[in-house]
Order: sequence, then structure tokens, then C-alpha cells
Amino acid sequence: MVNLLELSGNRIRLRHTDGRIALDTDEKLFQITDYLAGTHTAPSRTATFTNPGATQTPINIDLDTTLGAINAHADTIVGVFKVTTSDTRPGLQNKGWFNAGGTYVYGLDSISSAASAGSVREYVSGTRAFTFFAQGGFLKINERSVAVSQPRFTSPVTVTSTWPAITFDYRLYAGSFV
Amino acid sequence: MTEQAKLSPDLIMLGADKFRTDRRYMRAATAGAYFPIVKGKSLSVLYYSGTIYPACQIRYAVNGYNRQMTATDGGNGAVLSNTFAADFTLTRTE
Repeated sequence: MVNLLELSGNRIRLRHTDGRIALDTDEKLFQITDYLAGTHTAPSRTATFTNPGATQTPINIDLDTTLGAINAHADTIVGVFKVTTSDTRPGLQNKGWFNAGGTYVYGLDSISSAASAGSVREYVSGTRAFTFFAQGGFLKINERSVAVSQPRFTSPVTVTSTWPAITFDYRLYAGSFV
Repeated sequence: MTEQAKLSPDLIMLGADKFRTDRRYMRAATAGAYFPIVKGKSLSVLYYSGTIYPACQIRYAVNGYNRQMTATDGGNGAVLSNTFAADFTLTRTE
């Protein structure tokens, strides 16, 4: 028979009848300090390539935006969010809810280019990613956006590559393991 | 009246069923973790200005599971040093 209550020194352990531990005072439990719900819109970002002159104007954005105040000890964000956008390309935007933990990758972009040696190269030219996080008593969202436009050298032209505006609808818990 | 606490041979209950030993509670693991919960970023994106064209390099790194681009610009670009590793808490419910 399992002893459900175990006391030893400054430690308390409570068990289920199968022996597994339900509570161990030597281990931390996740404590929710705040619930935040709202919306946040990340604006459209556009990179350009202009010829003549072969001028690249890429975007390289690493931006934190404060969404609200939370407990100063909160360091973990869990919950859900969904994304709406006018972007009509195939993807998961406008389709349900995502887990808010870690980094959400909205999209990867690639361009191909005729290099000077004449070969065609394809590589990741752009990334757009967002992360909800807790910092110093505030819930924040980080936008990491990189984009490069497709080079064309054949005639005077300006080519653009755009990450569209997107809106987050979030329902989040902030807290920490205490 | 709601029962606030119970101590029996097969169940310990506290706070009107808020805590019961027959349930599972996610806790930070001192051993035998099931999975990590990331505190912030799980992905790092570095911008590479490039010798031919700009590009970016990404690295995912959580709890020792790392995936990172090893080439840029068709292999001609330099691989940037990226030691990013996510901050996380190892958890278990048992």
C-alpha cells in the first residue's frame, strides 16, 4: 500500500495510489500571475531592388513591442494566438489557433539569382518570425523580419518583396515556476 | 457545504478539489523531465549582408535539439557564428 503523504525534513510529497507524485515541495509548480488577451498588428515590411545602380534596400528588423504589464517575476508565456492577414499565399495564416510558446515562424522566403559565374542559386532570403515573451514586468512580442528583393539587371526597374501586415489575436497566461 | 479537505487511504484532497493526488500537475522537473517549456525565442535569425546578395541564416535550438543552416547563397556565403540556445524549463507531470 502506498503512503500518500510523505514528510521528511522540510520536504512534503503527496502521491497517488499508484505511487506517482502529485506534489513535491522540492519541485517548482507553474504559477499563473496574469492573463492577457488582445490584438497586435505588425505592419507591412517591404524590401526593394532598384536598377540601374543595382541598389539593394533589404529589411532587417528586430523589434520588441510591449503589449501590457504583468507580474515582474513572470518569465514564461503560454497560451494561444491566431493570425489574420490579407496574405493570400498558401500557408497557415487565417487558419485556427497556434501555441504561443517559443517562436512562431510566419514565413520563409527564397529568391534565385543568376550569379556572376552564370549558375543559378537559390537560398533563404527572408524570414518573418514572432515571439511572445515576458521581460521586466511586461508582456512583449518580438518581430524578427528579414527580406531581400529579387535582383534583376536587365532593364531599369524597381522590384519589391513584401511581408504583409498581420494581426495577432492572443489569449495568453504569464507566470513562472515557483 | 463543499468539502474543503480530505485525507483518506486512497486520496488527499485540498481546497475543494483544487488539488487532488489522483490528478497530475505540471512541475519543473529535478529529474526525468518529459519536455521543455521555452521562455522566449526558440529560433534565432541572423542577417547576412553577403558578398553577392543579402540573405538570412536561421538556427533553432531547444534543449540540445539544434537545427541550423550550414550554407548561405548557394554555398558561397559565409556561415555566421550563431550560438543561440533557447531559455527553457524542463517539466514533467509523472
